[in-house]
Amino acid sequence: MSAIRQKMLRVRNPADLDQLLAKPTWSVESLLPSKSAASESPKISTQQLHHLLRLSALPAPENAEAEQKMLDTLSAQLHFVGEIQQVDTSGVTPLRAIRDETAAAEVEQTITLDTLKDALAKEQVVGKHYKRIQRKIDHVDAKDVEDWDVLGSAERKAGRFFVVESEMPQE
Amino acid sequence: MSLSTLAKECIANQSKYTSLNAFISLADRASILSRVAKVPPSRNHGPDRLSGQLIAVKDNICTSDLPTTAGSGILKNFTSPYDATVVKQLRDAGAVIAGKTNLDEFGMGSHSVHSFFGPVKNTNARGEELSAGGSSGGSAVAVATGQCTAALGTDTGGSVRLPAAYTGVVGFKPSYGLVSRWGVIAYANSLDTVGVLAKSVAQMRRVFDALNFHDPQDPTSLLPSTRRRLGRPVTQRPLRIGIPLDYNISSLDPTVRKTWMHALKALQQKGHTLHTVNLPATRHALSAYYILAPAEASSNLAKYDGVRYGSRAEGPDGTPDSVLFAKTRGRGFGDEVQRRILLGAFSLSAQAMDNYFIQAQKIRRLVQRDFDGVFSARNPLLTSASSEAEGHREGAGVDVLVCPTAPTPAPELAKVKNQDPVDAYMNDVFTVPASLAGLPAVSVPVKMRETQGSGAGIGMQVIGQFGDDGLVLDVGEELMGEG
Repeated sequence: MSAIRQKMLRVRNPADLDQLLAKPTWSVESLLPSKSAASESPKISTQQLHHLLRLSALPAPENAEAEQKMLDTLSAQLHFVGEIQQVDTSGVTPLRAIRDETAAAEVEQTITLDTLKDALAKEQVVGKHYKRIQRKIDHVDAKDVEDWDVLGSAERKAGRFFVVESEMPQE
Repeated sequence: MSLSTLAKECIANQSKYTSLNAFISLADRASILSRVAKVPPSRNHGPDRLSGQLIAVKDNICTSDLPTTAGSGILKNFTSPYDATVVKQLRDAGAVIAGKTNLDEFGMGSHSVHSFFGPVKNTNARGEELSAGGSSGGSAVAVATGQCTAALGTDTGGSVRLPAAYTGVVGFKPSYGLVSRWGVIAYANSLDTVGVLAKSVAQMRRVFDALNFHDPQDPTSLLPSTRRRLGRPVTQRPLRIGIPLDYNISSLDPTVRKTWMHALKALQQKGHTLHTVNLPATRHALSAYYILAPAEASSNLAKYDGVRYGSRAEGPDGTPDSVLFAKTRGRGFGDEVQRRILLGAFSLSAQAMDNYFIQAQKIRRLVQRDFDGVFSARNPLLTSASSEAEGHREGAGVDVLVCPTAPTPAPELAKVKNQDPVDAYMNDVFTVPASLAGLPAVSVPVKMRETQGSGAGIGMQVIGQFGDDGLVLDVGEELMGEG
């Protein structure tokens, strides 16, 4: 997992810098599908497009022209992002989130009995033949949550309810 | 200058530059002035050093006294019941919120043209309309035109640094997890970072210092124990400056390349040493980013249905041929947002999950390894070295990287408005790698004597190892001092 140290070249003479940067190393346009060979781009079928729109809770295209435009854009996007499939990533652990991955941090964030000590202390076992756990009820200050006006930001409501109008067939 | 005079000047500029469309909503002027007038003259330093300062906030950060729209039609009438942690921190430090700035809807865009409230405009000395950069374009223009003393933005793939570069101000994206995201509307949560825009690095530092704290309400906020291991107590000078050769792309504008060389030579003249480095994963970073960010977006934006909050489309929603809420979401979201949701839904679908989404997360790891391979400091998120000797590898590696923020100076606004969606993604090629690795990066305007006429300067980016935020700002300050 450790990073591989690479060779670095020290640039001593300012004139070398001009020469060094004179030649570009790559072209970002190489990620774009070429205008002539559009057939290289991954194809998405109309059926697939409609499935993705449903999954996204987005409306279907209004006409055939709009649909073709959506298919073309998605295809160009997929060509653009599909480039990474050429990269060999065998044995690489995915980086899912930026977080402290050190052993010390893992220990600190592990939930142990000690973490739950206070919560467990609030439990008591009651009953003789049928033993069960009961929570000791003491005062919890939940005013900030209880005072929350759930409907406060809703645009359409009726009494204590949110209103959603739909034309879905009744099942 | 007194705080009141400064505030009045900002307010005058807000009226003067209305046509630039930098703000979506402005705080009440009388109440701003009365609050500034109440600040005792002695309290302009110490813990209250933002006292009486007018700070603008990007409109995807929640405020209880002004609407929070995220530049979207679906939130056009939404006001949050609470302040985001960063807004609370600013208020606690004495700052006055000047208003909410315009942006690309939910932060998705590179030119601040995809807003329900119309595009942000950036003008040069000749009066031409240019792109303000995105997505924090409103914040950048507000700072550049003196409508506030500093502004908050958010940076997912370059959204603070790019507009800073296009408008000639300083834009800083701190290490991921230093600044709280609680109350910041999520776009791509594993990348979203609150950043600061200001005219000087000194001003930037004052704002950042007020925000750099652990927040228990944000599960991605770095714990105090991790924070203690970040940064270096003393950095040996001269510094070793890295030149990432993979940032020298063929479409790099000649003026940008020239300014880059000028900046490097200036640092060399100050005694720092220059070293070339290779970051090969840079070439795949952009593609990986445009898989990860839309995938996270499609999931983060799934909650917008206009039921509990937000706006609804007129009439019944959901018919036998369409999904419930599709009408509301179709009307409420702009085109670019819908495009990214759709792309994200594809990357997360069963057939594409491994080849796209997981593969992109693996590329993200390769980008992180690339950076770890060139920096002298080890990545504190991966190695828990306690002593200086263990944490830093002597004689090898560079302290910071210096490269352009964007391939070109600010393009004309008319040109980017009709740009192909995928072409627009190219703009982020230099900012996305640091976002993927969560590294601190600042964009500072560098002006050359010979190109002084172009006004705003060219944005140069300083990138450092995770947690080296202070060092990155130091080098940014040194670069800005060069003319």
